[in-house]
Amino acid sequence: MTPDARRTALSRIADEYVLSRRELLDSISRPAVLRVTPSPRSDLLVTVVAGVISRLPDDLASRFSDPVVGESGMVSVHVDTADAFLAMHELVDDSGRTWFAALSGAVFVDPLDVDVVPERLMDTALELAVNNLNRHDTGGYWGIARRDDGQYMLRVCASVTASDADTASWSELVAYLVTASLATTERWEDEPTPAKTYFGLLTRPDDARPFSLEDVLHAVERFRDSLPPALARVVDVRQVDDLVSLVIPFPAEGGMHHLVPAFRPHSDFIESLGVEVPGLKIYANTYADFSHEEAYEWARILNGDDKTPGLDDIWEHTTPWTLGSWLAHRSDEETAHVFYRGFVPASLARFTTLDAVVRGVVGETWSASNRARLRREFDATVEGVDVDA
Amino acid sequence: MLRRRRSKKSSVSDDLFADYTEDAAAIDAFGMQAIDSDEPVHLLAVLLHRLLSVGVVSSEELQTLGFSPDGVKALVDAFEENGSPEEVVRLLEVSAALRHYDAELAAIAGERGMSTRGEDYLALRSAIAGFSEENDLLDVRAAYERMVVECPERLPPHR
Repeated sequence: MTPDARRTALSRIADEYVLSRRELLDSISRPAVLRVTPSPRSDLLVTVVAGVISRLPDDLASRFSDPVVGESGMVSVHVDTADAFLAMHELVDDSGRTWFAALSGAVFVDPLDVDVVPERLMDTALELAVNNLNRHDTGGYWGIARRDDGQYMLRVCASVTASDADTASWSELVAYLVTASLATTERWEDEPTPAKTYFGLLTRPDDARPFSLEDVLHAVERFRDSLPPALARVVDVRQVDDLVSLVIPFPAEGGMHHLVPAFRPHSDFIESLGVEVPGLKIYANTYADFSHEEAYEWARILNGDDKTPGLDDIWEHTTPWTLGSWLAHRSDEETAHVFYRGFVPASLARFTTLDAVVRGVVGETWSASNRARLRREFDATVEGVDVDA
Repeated sequence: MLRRRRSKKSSVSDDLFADYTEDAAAIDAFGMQAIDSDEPVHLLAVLLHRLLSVGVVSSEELQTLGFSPDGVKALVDAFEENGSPEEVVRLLEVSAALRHYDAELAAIAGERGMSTRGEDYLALRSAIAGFSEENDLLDVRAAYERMVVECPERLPPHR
């Protein structure tokens, strides 16, 4: 036995205890579970929404309707011509702390011609369409909106902040997300539009200091070092060329798997602007592979379109804002991965830090894998059980 | 050697014998290829794995020759990892080191009146191995004896 083999064996034995303790590993990430408060302060939400709109240039702000209070106390404004909206919710966590959640989105009308696409293929066609859009658009997530008159594609960005935090800075971030939604609805218009022009100003490369590889590596190492020592020793940091990744053990289904969120300083081409925007690319994964059908379903669920009863008013606070989206990617004839792809323009560095981005991506990946694990373990348990017997 | 062992089984049908002859030729060819290896552990591992995989010997028969069940499993796992000859040897060495430390740590647990089942034993193993690693001590008993003197609080309590 060589000394190296002995050292490897000692390292494995030293890790055994930590890896056997699910509750300890779970503390790598504990996303805050937030619920819609039963008595939202709608007047306050109207003020918060007004604060967001006031940060837009006049020609964009004037396109929004007056705030409307919905049945649940949620406050929204919308732009009729672009079918874009901003909705503001008030949430509460287990400790009673209150939070604001902003949903900025746009609905795309007539995505598919029902005379051309048979109804039975509509769901599949829409799923494929939004999955492909999630592959290329990393500024939010694409989903399917169901209305009385049919199904539409929907692009949504979301962000959450504690109500006692710096809401002025957060309002600026939400204004950025609103502008991104508007610019996206107008991306196929040939002429420059106010939203596209303003979005271009917000993301212009001249002012944005790109994230350096060294900055990213240090942020990832700081995350690892912030964990309790027993956990820090089982989390690995790797750098291959310009890709920095965390390798995080994830026990599931009787075995040990690994989550590998990875970060790469890189410029992204924003089609609607025709420019390269410097920023940070994000890649992550769930712990398991799925069948093709399951993978599409999981991408949809993890992007927030979950039909599980009782989940409508629950938010999991993971990312500082919606950094990207989940998508299904075929790995072979039978299985598919569920990937998380995201992009943080360098210009957003004024709203948050790389540390928050890393923590958020780990939280998103951990939370997603935990949901998949619980479902698969439940399915395996009840498999073959006749509930009618 | 391989043909001689099988030729004793006079009840083997001609068909099976034909299959076996093909296997044996493959084993011999593989063995000859492995003989070129500079690494005797790899050569032996290749031969044993081939004997196991075509059913010339079973893992039980290897155990009667002194191979532990864990050792046989390590051999199979090392080949299933499909690594280079160097990687196979490395995996086998790590497995051997794990078995060696398992025995040492079980003995230490016994001295402390601790069962080798349960969370306390896992905690003891990890604590001693972690201390060994931190101090680059490859002898876990020496590491344990230092812990008893220098940092007994890191060890799970006696039962």
